[in-house]
Amino acid sequence: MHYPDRGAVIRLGARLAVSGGRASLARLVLTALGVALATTLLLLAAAADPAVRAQQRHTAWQHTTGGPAGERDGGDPLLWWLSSDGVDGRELTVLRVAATGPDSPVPLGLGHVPEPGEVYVSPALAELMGQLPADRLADRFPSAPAGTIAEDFLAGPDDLVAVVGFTEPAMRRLDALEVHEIRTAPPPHQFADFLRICLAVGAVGLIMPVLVFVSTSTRIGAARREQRFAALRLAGATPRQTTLLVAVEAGAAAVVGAALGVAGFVAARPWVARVEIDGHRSFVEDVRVAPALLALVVVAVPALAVAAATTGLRRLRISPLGVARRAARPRPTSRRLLPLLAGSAGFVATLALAVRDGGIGLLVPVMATFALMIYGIVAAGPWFTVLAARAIGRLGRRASALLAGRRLEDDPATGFRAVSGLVLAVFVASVFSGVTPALLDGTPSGSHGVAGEDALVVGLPPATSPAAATAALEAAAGAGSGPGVVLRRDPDPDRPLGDPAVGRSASTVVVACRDVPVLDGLAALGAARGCPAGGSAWLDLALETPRLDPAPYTAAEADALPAELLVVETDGTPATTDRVRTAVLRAVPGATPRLGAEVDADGDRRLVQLNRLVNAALAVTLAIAGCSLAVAVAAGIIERRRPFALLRLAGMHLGELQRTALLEAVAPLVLIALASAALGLATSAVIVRVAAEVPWRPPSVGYWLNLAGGLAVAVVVAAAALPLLRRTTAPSAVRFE
Amino acid sequence: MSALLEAVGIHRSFGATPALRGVDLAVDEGEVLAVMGPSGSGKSTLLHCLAAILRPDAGEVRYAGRRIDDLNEHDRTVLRRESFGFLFQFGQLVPELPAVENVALPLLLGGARRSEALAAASAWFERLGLDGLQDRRPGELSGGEAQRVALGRALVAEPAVLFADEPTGSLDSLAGERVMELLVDTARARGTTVVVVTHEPRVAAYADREVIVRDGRCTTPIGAR
Repeated sequence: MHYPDRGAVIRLGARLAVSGGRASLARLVLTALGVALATTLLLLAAAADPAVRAQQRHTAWQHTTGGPAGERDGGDPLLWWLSSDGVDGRELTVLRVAATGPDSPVPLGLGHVPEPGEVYVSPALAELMGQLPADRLADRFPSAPAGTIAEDFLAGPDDLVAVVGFTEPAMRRLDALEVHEIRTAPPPHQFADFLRICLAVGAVGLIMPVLVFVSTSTRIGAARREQRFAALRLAGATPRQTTLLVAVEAGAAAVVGAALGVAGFVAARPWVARVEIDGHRSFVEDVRVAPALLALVVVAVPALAVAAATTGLRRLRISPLGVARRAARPRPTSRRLLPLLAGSAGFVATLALAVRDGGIGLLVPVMATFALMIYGIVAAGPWFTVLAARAIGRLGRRASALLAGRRLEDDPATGFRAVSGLVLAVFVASVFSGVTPALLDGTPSGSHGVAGEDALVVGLPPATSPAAATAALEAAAGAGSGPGVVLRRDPDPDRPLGDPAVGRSASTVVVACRDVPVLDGLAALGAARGCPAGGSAWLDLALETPRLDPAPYTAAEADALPAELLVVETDGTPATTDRVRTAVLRAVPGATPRLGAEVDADGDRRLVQLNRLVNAALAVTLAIAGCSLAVAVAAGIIERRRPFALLRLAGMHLGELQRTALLEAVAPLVLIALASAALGLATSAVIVRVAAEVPWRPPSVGYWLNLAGGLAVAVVVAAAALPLLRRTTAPSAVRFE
Repeated sequence: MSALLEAVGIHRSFGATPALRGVDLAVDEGEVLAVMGPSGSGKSTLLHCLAAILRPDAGEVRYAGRRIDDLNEHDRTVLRRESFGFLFQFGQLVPELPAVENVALPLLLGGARRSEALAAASAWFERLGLDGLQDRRPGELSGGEAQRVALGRALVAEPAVLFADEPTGSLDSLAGERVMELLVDTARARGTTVVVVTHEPRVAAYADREVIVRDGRCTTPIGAR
């Protein structure tokens, strides 16, 4: 007894793969496309985490901590004053530094601590300085840039950063921090950590519909292929040889797909780097995958495709007698819910632990349990399909309902496979749509209720004199601002307010009553509460709805108090606000002017960006899932063209046949998609409560419209394959092969 | 002369339905045996058990004195490939491969070099009156031509036993007779044992001996040779 060499079987498999006609070609092309898509998405998902981590690492210096002057002895501390500014509608980070001796730490890899008046800027800021008039940007700095900051200290290529050298006395007046060591590792509990959890969960959710697409593609023309394998078995092929033939066919497509996928990843990197993470684009070189991980993905995805194809074959008992009998599988029972329940419980537990321990250590278990939940949906799908089948069998009165119900009940796994991609997409969409509204709603507004969106709120350095504040107001007016007021620090922060029950926060400032009418927000408060003429009032800026309480200072006494904030009205245009900022900064170096709209948007921006990212990912997922449904419905029709043709010959109308095929797709889709949506929203509630610790809010109307719209589109997609029935069930189709 | 192929008390059921209920049968080397019987009598099941496609639930099947019903799937496949040939009514050609490669398939799967396998396969085209059709796909052949290609594939590995299940069932009488003549003539010339299942007396007439399967049991017809 001699054994054939594998090479001959592999060559035979390759020949069968390329000479199998249109169905075979379609299967190969779609499998390759699916694998390419899966590879690209997996690599992008794998690259997202390093990109986020790189940003965290690059900007770790911004989280440098130090102490007030004299807190720590020894060494030459670096005097450090980090402030946030804005220009042209973008955020500008300004670091003011002064060395106190030769051993002062050197910031941002500059080689030396900038001398007083010396300025270093990021490349993006240098470019912007060249584009904008000096009075909008360049005049804020004491000199022209002496050099640029290295990429290692920038969040991304669009990051606007300036490092300005100051004198030590000037920095002491700012009450600057004394820094002995500049931070190089990101601190825990950053928004980026939450983003990484979301990206990890999203990546898992994104990949599953793609794998479903690959699996569906490998099933095209399955019946004919199984007949072919039976013929091969009759000619003497062993089961192992048959498996090898299937593996060669799927493997050839998968290898081509994996190569295309890597090319797709390389091509997509610059585009992905443009996606803003935490407000900034990434450097293209940060969107990368470790070589070992790249190798793993490139090997694992084709291996998965081959495994999907050969597993499908193993479920068949291909005998030399021809028709491959499907290995009997037990009717799905409610026990199929167990993986879903286990995954859900595990997800809650690992998420809680991840949040408690800082997020990242348990990222893999969070991903794994989320993947188990998704597997749970796939495992429970056939059981739900049986429920749908029984429902249409019970409720339907036509032959189409009877046929569709019986077929779904007979083979619920196949019925579910067609809709599984969409079901998973609905689940993932529901999770993210349920998370973002609550987080957006839970983000506290950073603006002061007294200032409108177009008002510039200027934080003043601690030792700003009343005269300097007044000079800043005049400079702002000269640069085109509207009216403005000075909010002052109360020298007696422990004095109780008029109504002791209200309490007072550290954000309580003093405002002269004559200034109250200047700002609309203050005027409204003054009208409501009354503010004694010639007197002053306390204003607690920490309250969501600010209130005025009479303060025991005359207006003249209030004018002599240290200035804390300036609020000046602007017309809201970038040109005016930039000029006003420049004027204020020249008057009070170290001030932090922020536009009300910027302060408001600051908290929301990250989540809006996350939402945008999620929506883009979901659009891709839904498109892939829609393709899976179309392919599955078309493949199902082609596979059963003979029995359908016989039914037509027996007198069944084409319309009734089309209703049968449509019902088979739509009934499980609607039932399971709704169950998936409910589970997704429940999962989002868990994430919101556990990870973000804010109350859950139901998704916006847009989500419900999208859900209804998505299901409607799915029905249309399924219906788009129905014209195939007319052609494939023509009487001539009965006599094929 | 000892039997080349032997079934001893074999039983086989499909679920609760018995197909064979204790069949004893011996086929001599070089013999052409016709197995007849009405539809559903169990004759195809008997052939599948003899050919090591199906395993009997009870009883033994021996080939060349060796028990084959207890072989594993791989060994039975190799046995079928190297010692048995098959000619069925339908579905035995691979539609993606040209006729010559269909014939060469058992040799290729058995590890023969491609050139040798194709040369051996081509030789059968002349013998079977199919010259010039080597490169045609199964879909481009008539029913009789396709069945002769299948006969070539069944014989190319020079099997000791050829199993044929309703080999002319899908052919008109003329094409059927052509196939049977070729089958029996080639088998006799090479000393190949043939077991042919049929319900057509005209096909059975080509055999040296007939047995009848009825209700899962095997009998010899009255006046049989």
